[in-house]
Amino acid sequence: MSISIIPPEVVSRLKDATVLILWGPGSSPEDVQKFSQELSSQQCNRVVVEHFERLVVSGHPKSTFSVVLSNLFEPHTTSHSFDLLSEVIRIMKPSGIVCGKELSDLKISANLKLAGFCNITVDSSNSIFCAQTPNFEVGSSSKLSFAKPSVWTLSDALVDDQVELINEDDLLDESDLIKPDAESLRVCGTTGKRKACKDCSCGLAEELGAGQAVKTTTTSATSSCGSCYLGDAFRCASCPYLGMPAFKPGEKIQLSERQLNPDL
Amino acid sequence: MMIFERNLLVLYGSQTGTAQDLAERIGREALRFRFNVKVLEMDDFEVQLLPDQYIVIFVCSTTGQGEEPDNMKKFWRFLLRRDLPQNSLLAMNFGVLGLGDSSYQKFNFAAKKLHKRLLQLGAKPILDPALGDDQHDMGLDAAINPWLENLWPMILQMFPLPEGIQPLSPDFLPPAKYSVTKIDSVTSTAHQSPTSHPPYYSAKNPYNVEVSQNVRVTSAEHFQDVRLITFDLNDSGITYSPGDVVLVQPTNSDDKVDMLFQVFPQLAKHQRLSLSSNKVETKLPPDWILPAAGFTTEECARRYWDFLSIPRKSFFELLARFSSDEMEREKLLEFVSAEGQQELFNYCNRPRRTMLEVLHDFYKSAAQVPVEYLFDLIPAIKPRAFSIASSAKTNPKQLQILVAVVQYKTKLSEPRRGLCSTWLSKLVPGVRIPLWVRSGTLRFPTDPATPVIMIGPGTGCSPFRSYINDQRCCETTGSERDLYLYFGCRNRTHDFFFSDEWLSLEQQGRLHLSCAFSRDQPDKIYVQHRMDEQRLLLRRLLIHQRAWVFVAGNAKQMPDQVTQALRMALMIDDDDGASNNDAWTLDKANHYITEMIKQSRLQLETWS
Repeated sequence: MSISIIPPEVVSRLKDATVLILWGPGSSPEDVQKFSQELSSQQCNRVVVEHFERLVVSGHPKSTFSVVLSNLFEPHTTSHSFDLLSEVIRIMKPSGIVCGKELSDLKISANLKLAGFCNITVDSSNSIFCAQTPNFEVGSSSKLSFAKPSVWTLSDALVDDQVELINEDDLLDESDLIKPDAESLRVCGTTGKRKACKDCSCGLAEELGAGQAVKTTTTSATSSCGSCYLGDAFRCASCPYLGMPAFKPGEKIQLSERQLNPDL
Repeated sequence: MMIFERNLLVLYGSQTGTAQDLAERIGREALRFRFNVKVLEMDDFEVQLLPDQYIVIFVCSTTGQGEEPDNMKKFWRFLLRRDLPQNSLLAMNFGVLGLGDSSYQKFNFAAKKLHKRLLQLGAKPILDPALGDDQHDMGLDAAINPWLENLWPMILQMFPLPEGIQPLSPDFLPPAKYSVTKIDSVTSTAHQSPTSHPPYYSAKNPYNVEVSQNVRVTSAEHFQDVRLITFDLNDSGITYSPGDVVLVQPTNSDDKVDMLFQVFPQLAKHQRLSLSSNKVETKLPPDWILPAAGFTTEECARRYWDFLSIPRKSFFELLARFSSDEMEREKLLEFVSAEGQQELFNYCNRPRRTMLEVLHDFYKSAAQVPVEYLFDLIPAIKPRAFSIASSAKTNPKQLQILVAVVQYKTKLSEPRRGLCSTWLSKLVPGVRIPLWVRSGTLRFPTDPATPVIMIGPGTGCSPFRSYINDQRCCETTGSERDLYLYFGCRNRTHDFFFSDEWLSLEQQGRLHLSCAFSRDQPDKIYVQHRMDEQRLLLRRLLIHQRAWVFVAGNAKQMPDQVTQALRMALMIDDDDGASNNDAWTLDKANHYITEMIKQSRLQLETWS
């Protein structure tokens, strides 16, 4: 592999950068060695080479690398999982860039987005992706600076039986004893709208549209809309088969007295 | 890490796993907003790190009689320390999601107390606590979903995303909770029986108890099947006291398991699987249910997946993500939408439609769910608690429970059945099931002069049968505690539990028994009516003898009506010869009852 396969926008970042080269199973160490020497012509600040399987174990400090080159050596076997990308972004600086090759049918841009990268580009002709890390660092200045009270740092704090506790019942007052009003717990089932099915041919859709009261049909045991064989989720409000599991279209189903006369 | 230092912590206290499921769901939602999320049970979190946290969402169930779940007891105890300075948590922005049941008196007390204590320690609330209520027609979701919808915009305001970064869209697919590996090795699937017998059995390490008897105690004509089940404790060393509860873990029946495999053609019944957790803090299922060494898919369907539960909105959301069938997907998304909540209620909650039935309706989508996501889609079977009905003194090395088999009709053609009660009713003597005992919340008085009044209709009488037998196990010595039992059921001849024991004690003058048989006459007579007939007695017991009152059972109105009966008894005109004896006002009676509750002289253990 040579520098030429790296997109120009990445190459332009190499000068004075702290670079991480990630390589994986199947690739030859000599190739990796050769490449990192080639990289020295780009005047990087520092180049670190790491095998994927050692990445997490190595525990690089956060915000270290401004450029990461990943899985660019044949046979490009590594797949960029969410977990892998999470670790990569952790050890990358703000406004950093990662460039890698993803040969599997993994949705690489989804994983990159999920891990927190932005400005994601994927070149489908050569399966090379690039993505950037956001250009800020949150948190370092917003921590309140007060000394943590020492009681919070006692190592045996949890098992101390002698310590005095406040009376937890004192935490509550009269208003906490109030329970929800029974009516507020009900969902109105009777005024819930009655639904006509998608290609309603029995007239229910029209009647609902006209805002008229609907007479419940009781005797017909045939499907008006053709959806009866589906489960309850797709049946219309007047379907005589409501309450029964789905069945195969054309199958004869015996309806009970109760189902034929739902109003009784 | 998502974006530098953008951390969010979700801490949960969960007794049966519901709060844990919700905490994990919140963790997934937080990923959308580019947070680096950790989801942990409270006792697993190093509490010393709490002052460093900027955003913490607490998911807190209330269990028993207003208590916090076991897996947050240590954490809570630490927070209650008097020596914690009031500015300890100034850096924290928090929200508390409570899960509770308003049929209990101490509704969501654990969450309410947590919220208040955090305020005392200087933390800033993002929102008022959500008070999820199982009694709501839409269940816990009715409070939880709107609260979460309000939460994220507020959090984003406080911790905005940087320029150019958007939250991920709602239909992004979060990583599955577990990775599932297919394994070929032949490892024993037998439950690991401990080689030594540890003295302490728990949810992590249950005792495999033998069923010695399973007897129907309601008459054959009675509509309900109620079982008295006896377990042999043998040399387990398990002991219990009146008021304690026993927990059992039900399994799904063979025919239901077969139906599940019909909707998931992507599963192979006998394929061996092994789970690993995708995040270091996510716990694996208990080893005794799904061994880490491996289990078959069939075992998973039978022992772990609760596919007869009623699906929540998050189920429809996740199923929609995998669906490529236009009609099904459209309907699933409708159920997820704000406008579709009424439809969802009518389709799912009101008729109590099971997940299995829903999957059959949406069979095309079901077939598309990848195996590892089934562990996010289907919740785990939860253990159920039953009051122990026996006394260790009269039934040594035995444990009994009284179980009403739950069965009822909704508009669905197939009747609804309780998973656990149905499973228990079918247990054959000789079979072994895992169980463990937990301390009950009822506290009985230590002073033998204190009379005890027990009101326990139906299966609510269980802890009282335990207590009565415990108190009366030996021959009478002449002076013993006065016991009053108010028992209610439908018919003297159909469901009068333990009648021979109690009538015998009554004859010996060792138990004051008042029964209300609601359907033996045209007028319905309930326990509170019997109490109304005995107002003077009750008043004297309460005021002069400082009696303790216990109410247990399964009825929504019953606790309120019993409390009203106590109120009326306190207010009765009692001319006992004393000169300053005006009848009490309602205010005075209410105040007395409040004091009784504070002093544990009035205790309720009711469920629905």
